[in-house]
Formats: sequence, structure tokens, C-alpha cells
Amino acid sequence: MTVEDYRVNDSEKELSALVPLAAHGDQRALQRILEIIYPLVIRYARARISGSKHPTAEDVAQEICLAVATGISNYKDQGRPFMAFVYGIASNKVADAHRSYARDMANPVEEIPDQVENSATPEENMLFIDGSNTVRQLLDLLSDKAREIVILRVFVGLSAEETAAIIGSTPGAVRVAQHRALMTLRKKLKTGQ
Amino acid sequence: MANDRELEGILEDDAFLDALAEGKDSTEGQDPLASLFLGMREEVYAPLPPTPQVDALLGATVVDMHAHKKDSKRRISGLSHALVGAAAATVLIAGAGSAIYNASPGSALWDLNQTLFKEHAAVVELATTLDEIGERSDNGDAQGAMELLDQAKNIVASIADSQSSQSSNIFTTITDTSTVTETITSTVPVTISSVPAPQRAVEPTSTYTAPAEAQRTEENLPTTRSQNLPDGVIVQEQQPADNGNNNNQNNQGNQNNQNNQPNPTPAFNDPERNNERQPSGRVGDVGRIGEETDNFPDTEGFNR
Repeated sequence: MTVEDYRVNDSEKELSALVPLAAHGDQRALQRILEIIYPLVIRYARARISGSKHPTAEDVAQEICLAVATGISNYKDQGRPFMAFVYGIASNKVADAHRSYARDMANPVEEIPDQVENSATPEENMLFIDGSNTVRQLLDLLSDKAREIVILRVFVGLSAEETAAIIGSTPGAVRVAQHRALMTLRKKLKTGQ
Repeated sequence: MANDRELEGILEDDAFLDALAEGKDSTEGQDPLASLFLGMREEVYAPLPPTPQVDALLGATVVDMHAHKKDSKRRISGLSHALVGAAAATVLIAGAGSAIYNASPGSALWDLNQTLFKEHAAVVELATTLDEIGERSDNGDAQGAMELLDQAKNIVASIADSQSSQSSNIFTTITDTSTVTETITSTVPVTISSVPAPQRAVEPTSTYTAPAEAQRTEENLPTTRSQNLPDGVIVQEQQPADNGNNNNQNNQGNQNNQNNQPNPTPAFNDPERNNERQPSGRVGDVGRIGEETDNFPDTEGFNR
């Protein structure tokens, strides 16, 4: 079984054993923690950062792991899953990256979504070939929280319960939010508004 | 409030998202969102780079300082004990020991500061001697290596002497700072051979913690002392990580952990383990594999 086969719940069990060790300086435990979280971190970063950006999603994932590695010695279990801690770091690092992209006026090209032709209307463009950037554009229409929920659900692969635990909400609230988010996206896709 | 229809929609979408998470379209092509999401999902699930390694991330080699009581072969002698204490303390200075180094007379670390720095010169001399021993051994000069070994023993003795009256002081203080909480109890039987590299060291009649596997570790060990770390010494470099606050946080975190239990696996290991070890950049990932791997080590106090 590879790490990818873990559902997050399985990971949480192992993490809850490893985290105290790593917090006290056990480097082997810390390495194992990174092995567990890295695929999730990468997927989250890739979902939030398009492939044409620099720093890349992989760069940001590396920074996230570094921050987890250095921050873990101060980690205190306060009843939330360790992945909530990781997620907090991850979303901050991604937000930092987005700010730096916005500041980086030297590379405006990166702001343009990949498209083959540009003779279509904006709405039609959104339906064009590059699915991933289309999805990102769609997701940008959502509130931050709704976007995070969809990303965690689809691309990180968390259940509604796991998502709720990580973002600090309830499964019910997550289910309502995700449903309404999808309705928004479908409408946008259909009508261009 | 969600009505029945919306409730249905909620449940459907929950199932829809669950399916997408597994790479499936539960609408059989009816929902255009599905193919979009799945397309992006493929990108997101592209092969991963290798997982970052802890020591590469943190920019230092961290060596275990955990004392291993169980193996009776690895009891530490008094001299080695002092040697390791001095060397360990010196390494702490080089690494995270700015707190000790900068301690002022009023602080709790002052005694430690005084004690450590008195030994400093002796330890450096010892380190140099160990280097030389390694070289002579490499060159097949067993005789010369043995001679130097005597010299090294003298240095160790002198450190031990000046430490003995203060050893409780050091270790108490070290405990308080929590950067070192374990004594090293493993010792490396040293053998002369013509095998190259300082990994094989000199066979004495006394037990002596040899330079052992120092060469295996990352290049970014602090100074020449890195080659001569006795078994089980911790090097902790507090590197500024994503922001400048981390140094502070880590130091404080360490100081607040009264029972800071370091890595239970010794990185610099005795030769008998040499061939068992998997070469890797992860210095901590050696030793006692299969013994205490996933268990938090017993709290092993200072007074052994």
C-alpha cells in the first residue's frame, strides 16, 4: 500500500502517534509525517496554483513542508487533527504565493490562462480546452471558503467529514456549502454568468 | 432551511464529489463540471517529486542523543561519558547554543557557559587528534595511530578531570535548557584496519568513541568537529526557515520542553552496525531498527 492509498482517516491515526514524537525531536517520525502529508500538500498546492506560475506548486509544497518541519516542535494537540495544522500552513503559503504572483509584474504572461485561440467570447473561452485553468477560473468565482471546500473534496480527496475537521466546520455545513458551490459553478458554466 | 429537494441535491452532490475524488463521474457525462474537474484532477495527481528530506529541509544533520540502556555492550565508560559531554556541549555551542554562548553571569546558563568554554580548547585539540588518528589509520600506520590514541586519551582525561567536579553542574544545566537531556551510553569499539576513511578507527584497549561514520553525513555539519563527533551527539542547527521567527520559536520551544526526548536512534553507530545501515541522507534513520522504531523511547533520565 502506498501512501497515496491512505484515506486521511488512516493517516490521522498514524499521525497522532507520530506527531508527539516529532514534536520532541524524533527526526524519523518527522520524516514519516512528511511522507504522509506530502502528497496531500502537493495536490492542494497544484489545485490552487496553475502550472505556469513561479514559484511552482511544487516549490510552495516544499515551503509548506519546511514550515511544518520547523513548526512541529511547538505543536500542541488541542483536539484538532494534525492535518488542520498542516492545512493552515498550506493555505497561508499558497496565499503568500498568490500575493507574490500579483506583485510580479515582470511576467504578465503568467496571468493569462492557457488558450489555443483567442477569437472566442470570454464565456466561450472559459469552455475551451484547458480544463484545469477553466476550473481555476470557475473556482475563483466562489467564496474562499467554498473554494477551499471544493478543492479539499475533489483534489485533495477528503470526505465531507474530513474536510469539516480540517477547516473547522461541521459535515452538515460542508455539505450545504459544497452543494451551493456546485450549483453556482454549473450556472456559470451554462449561462456565462 | 434546506427543503426536500435541496436536501436531495445536497446528498447527490456529496456523492458526486466523493466520486470525483476517486476519479469517477457519477453523472455519466451529464454534468459538464465532471469532465472539467476530472481533467484538472489528472494534473493534480501527476507523479510527485520525492518527498522532502528533513535534514535537507532543516539544513543540518541531526544526530540522535538518546541513550540506549538495553544493550549492555554499549555501556559508556566514565571517560567516554565526559568526552561525549564535552564534545556534545561544544557542538551545541556551534549549533543551537547561542543561548549558552551568550549567557550572562546572571542567567541560568552561566555556569554552563563557563564550564563549556573552558573545555573548548581541549575539545578542539581532541578533534584534531582524532582526525590525525583517522589519517594514520588510513595510511596503514597502526603504530602512529596508537601513539596518537594515547595522546587523545590524555586529552579526554584532562577534560574529564576538569569536568568531574562540575559534571553534575553541566548536566543539570543542560537538562534545564533541555537541548541535551540524554547521556550517551553507546560506545564504539575501535579497530585498526586498512579500510579507508575515518569510519574505521583505531583499536585501543580502552573504550573510545571514535569518529565513526562522520563522513557519511551531510556536508553542512558545523566545522571540523563534525568528523569527530562521538556516537550519538546531537547537532542542532537552528536555521531560519520560512521566516526569521522560527529561530526564536524553536529555541523557546526547546527550552520549554523539560523532558525533551531526542531522536531515539543513534546516527553514528558502532561498526557492527555498519552494514545494516541503509545509506541515506537521513542521519537519524539508523540503528535499532526493529527495536523501538515506532515507540516513544522510555524516559531515560540523566542519572544512569
